[in-house]
Amino acid sequence: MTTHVELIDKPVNQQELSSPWPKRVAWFVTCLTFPLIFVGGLITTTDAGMAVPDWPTTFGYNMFLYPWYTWFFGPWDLFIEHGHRLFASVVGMVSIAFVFVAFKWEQRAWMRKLVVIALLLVSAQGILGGIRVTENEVLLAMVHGCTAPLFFSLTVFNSTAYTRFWRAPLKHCQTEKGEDISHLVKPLRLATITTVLVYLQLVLGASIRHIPVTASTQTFSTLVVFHLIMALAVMVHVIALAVNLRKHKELAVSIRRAGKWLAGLVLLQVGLGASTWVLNYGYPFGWGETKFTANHLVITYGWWQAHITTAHMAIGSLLLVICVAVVTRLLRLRFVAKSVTVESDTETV
Amino acid sequence: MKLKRSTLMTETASKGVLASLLVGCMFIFTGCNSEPASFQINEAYIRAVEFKSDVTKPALREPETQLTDLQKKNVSEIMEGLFGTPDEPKLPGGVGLKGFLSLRKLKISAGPVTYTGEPDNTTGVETGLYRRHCAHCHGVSGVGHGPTAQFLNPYPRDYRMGQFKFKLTDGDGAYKKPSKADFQHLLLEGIAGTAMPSFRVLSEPERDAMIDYVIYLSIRGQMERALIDAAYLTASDSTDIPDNPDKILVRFGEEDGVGEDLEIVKELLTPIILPWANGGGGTVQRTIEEAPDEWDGDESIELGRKLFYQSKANCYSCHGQTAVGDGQNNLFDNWTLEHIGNDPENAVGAGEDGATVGIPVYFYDEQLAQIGVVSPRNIKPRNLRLGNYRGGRRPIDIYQRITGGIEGTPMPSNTKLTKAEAWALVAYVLSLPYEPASRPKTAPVFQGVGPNK
Repeated sequence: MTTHVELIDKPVNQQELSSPWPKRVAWFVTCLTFPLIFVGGLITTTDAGMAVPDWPTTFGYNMFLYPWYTWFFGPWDLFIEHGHRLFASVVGMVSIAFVFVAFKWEQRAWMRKLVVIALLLVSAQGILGGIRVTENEVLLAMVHGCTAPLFFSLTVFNSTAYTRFWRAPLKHCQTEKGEDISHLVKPLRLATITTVLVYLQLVLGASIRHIPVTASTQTFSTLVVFHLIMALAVMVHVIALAVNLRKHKELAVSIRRAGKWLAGLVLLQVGLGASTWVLNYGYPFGWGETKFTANHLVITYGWWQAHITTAHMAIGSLLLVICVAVVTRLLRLRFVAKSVTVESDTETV
Repeated sequence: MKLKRSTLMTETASKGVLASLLVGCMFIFTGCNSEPASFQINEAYIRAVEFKSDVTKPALREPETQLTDLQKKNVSEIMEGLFGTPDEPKLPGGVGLKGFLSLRKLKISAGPVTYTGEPDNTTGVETGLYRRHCAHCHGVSGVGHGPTAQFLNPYPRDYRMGQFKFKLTDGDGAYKKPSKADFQHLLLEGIAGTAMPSFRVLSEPERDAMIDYVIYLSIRGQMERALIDAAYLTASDSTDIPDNPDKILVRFGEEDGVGEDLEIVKELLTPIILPWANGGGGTVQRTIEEAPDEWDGDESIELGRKLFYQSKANCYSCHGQTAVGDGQNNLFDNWTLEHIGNDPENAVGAGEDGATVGIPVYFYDEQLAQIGVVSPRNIKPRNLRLGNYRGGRRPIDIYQRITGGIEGTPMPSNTKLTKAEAWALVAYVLSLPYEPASRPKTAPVFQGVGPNK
């Protein structure tokens, strides 16, 4: 007697939102964060991080009162760096708004805590970026670059908590009431490992991008080799995860679709990584000795160099948050399924 | 229920902690500590001087003698006194350098990347151009092995030998220093087929500032080598003050030795600066106007093809019978040759002076790798059928490579060719990429060389 579960988890029923605003703001923060990360990456790619040497002021001006005409029509470095600050301020303000909205309408205490944590994280990120400027320290720029995907991941987690899936995961999955879902441990484990690997890969990439001029050739070479090895590991894990999710027909469409997105993005990412190298350093291993490659010219801060390199970084963040979304949904599914099992057992007793 | 939830939370938390630990380890492992930038003494050259057998400077090649730490320290101090630091560059006075290089431009290029806010200036002035655009490959001291160097092919240039490949100033078989116009052209156009980028997005004043800084680093590097040679010469000269192996340079900085040492410094510095100042100050650049009429006509190309296989030009011996660059692949450029020496443990006999002659080997080893020297590679002749000429694809560039050679490489200058012959070769070389690959011209029977001999 198979019956698909209709919205069975009671705790979720109690979480019926009294307003659509928390969900809207959560998604708004998430949608703003990705372009913010892209702009931040563009600053690193074009080495524009010190274009404004003071912080929190901009050339002595209050950041928001800096002459817009000079900003908009001034040098590129200034445009992108000051623009990043303004953009980040917007994200910070929306995060503050999220806290207000959450405390007004959000019923779940842990969710309110997470929203506050997100605000603290984005504030810390802003201060980190500021200290990176005042100290002119490339190591802090790297930490700033590594913190951004963490904040992005948190915003995605928060947004996931407002999805229909979150409210009724069993309904979206073809899972029977009280069904043993221990077979989902494998994709969950795989997704978790993949998430960790993707983040480590991001850290390695950030280390390469922020390598100090005083570092040795061995340091850079080691980082590049590890980045390549990790790329292979990430690719294998992502494809294994995508295949595994595809096998689980009972899972929600959103989860299985995420697997496909991951597989597609990881292949794109490999292509972007190779292109990044060629656009920054030319062809390796004598591959530049062919009719088609011999005349390749590296152009510092050329359009392709700037955008492909930055896209490589940004897609890395996107891979991470999709992994986070998959892990979050699988964890939620497991949690609800277990809760149901416990309740069923209690009722039986 | 609570137990279940707490178990789940614990599992998740432990995974989080594990991930954080891993990430923490990665931060530590990557070791991205940004040390303050400093000019490092040319340890590679010191080792080359100490270990290499060089017939051109036998007096410097006493294998038993090594520079003491005190001598190295003195060299570094003299260098800092003359040229300052990467953050605060200086120009030595009284040797004609200040008229050639601009200290203002050097200060724009030097130091960490930042902008300095100025009164009434809402955008600031950028400094640290060299570190922003050049140092990751060429290194803070212009050593040619910055962090990225190992994977680049060819390796970035080491400025410290004062040798540069691509310029329009060479002539009559003599290598000269590149002019600032040569550098400007190179920075604008980049070097296709290598990692050397085009800096066309920068303004001309910015490129000018970087050029001055590169020349400054080159002069600084040459001076450092001269000081190391001088220190080594005095250290190995047993006839003068035998009890004091540090000799002249020891007294630098002391009251009684300053005058003497400064004189030596000036003597060493002047011949280094003069070729630069002359090269950049007034050397007429070669131009396309030098080319004769019809230089790129069919007859000219045919003449060039013959010359290619003749001993007069001797192009085929390196670039190969079919001009694909497979004539030889065993030669080295000067930057690599510096690290090649004789291996005394594999002696093959005695030289004319009775000294042991070993098999030529690299003395590239772990120690050189430690100080950042990249592993040696052979230099390959260009595949002329690809249409990629690193020194530039303008006819005048090819003409210059043929007649002036490429400094620091086995590509020789050729003074035997007449102007018409040299231009004929230019025409032939430029026609090679358009010659069908299935129809590589066979060499003519001429002077018993070439494939038809």
